[in-house]
Amino acid sequence: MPRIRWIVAAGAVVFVLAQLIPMSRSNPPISQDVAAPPQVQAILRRSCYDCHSNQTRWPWYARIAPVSWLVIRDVERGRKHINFSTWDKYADDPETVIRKLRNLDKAMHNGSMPLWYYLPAHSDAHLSDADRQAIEDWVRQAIANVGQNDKQ
Amino acid sequence: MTRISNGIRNIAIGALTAGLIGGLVGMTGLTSVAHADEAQTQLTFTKGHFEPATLDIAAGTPMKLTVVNQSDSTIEFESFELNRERVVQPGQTIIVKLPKLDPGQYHFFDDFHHEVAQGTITVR
Repeated sequence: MPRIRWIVAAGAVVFVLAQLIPMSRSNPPISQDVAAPPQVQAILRRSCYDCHSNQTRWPWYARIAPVSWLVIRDVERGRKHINFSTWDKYADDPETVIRKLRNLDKAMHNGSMPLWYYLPAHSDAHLSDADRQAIEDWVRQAIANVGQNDKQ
Repeated sequence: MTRISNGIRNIAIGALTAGLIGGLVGMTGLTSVAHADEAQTQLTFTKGHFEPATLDIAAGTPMKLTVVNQSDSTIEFESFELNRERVVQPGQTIIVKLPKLDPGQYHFFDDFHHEVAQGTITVR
C-alpha cells in the first residue's frame, strides 16, 4: 500500500510540475484569409480552422498538461502544413498554392482529415460527404483559377 | 613628321578604344547592379541530399532559387518558413521565387525524403 501511495504522490507532483512548463497558445495575426465561397468558408472554419489557421478556438483542455502539449503540437504542425489565415504568403508562388490545394483535395478524398482523434471532442468538425464534395469542387475551381491567373 | 603624327594618331585610337572598352565594362557593371536587386542561387538535389546544404543570402533582396533534381526520384522542395512547397520531377529544374526576406534562418527539406535531405538558408 505505501508503495502505491508513493506512486500516486509522485504522479501528482509530476502533474503539478508539468503545469508550470510554459507553452504558447497564441493566435498570430491574420494576414489574409483564403478566398472561398461562403459555404466552403463555413465548412473550413468549422472543421479545419482550429489547426490550420490563426483563429484557433483553444479548448479548455489545451490548458492542462500533458494534453495541452499534444494539442499545441497538432496546431503548430497544422499551421505549418497549411494555414488558411496567411494565404497571401503562398499566393506569390502559384505552384505552391496549387500544391496546398491538391493536398487539401487529397485529404478530403482519402478522409485523412480531420484527424480521427480530433473528432470525439469536436463532433461539429465532422465532414459529411456533401461537405467533402463542396471542398473538392471549390479546390478544383481554385486550381483552375490559379492556372489561368498564372498564364496572364 | 609623318611618323610623329602617326604616333599621335595611334595614341588617340588607343585612348578611344580604351575609353570604349572602359565604357562597355562600366555599362556591364551597371547592368549587373540593375539585376542585383533580384539575387539568384541554385540548389541541386543529388545522391539523396541538397547541394549546397547551406546558403547565405542578403537580407531585403528578392531571390530566384533554382532547384535542380538530378536524382532518379521525385522530390518535394518544402520550407515552412519560406511558405514554399514544390514538387520536382527527376531531371526537372524549377525556379522558386522568394520575396525580400528578414534576417534569420530558413529551413528547407525534401518532404519525400524528410530525414536525410534538408538544409538551411541563412539571411544576413
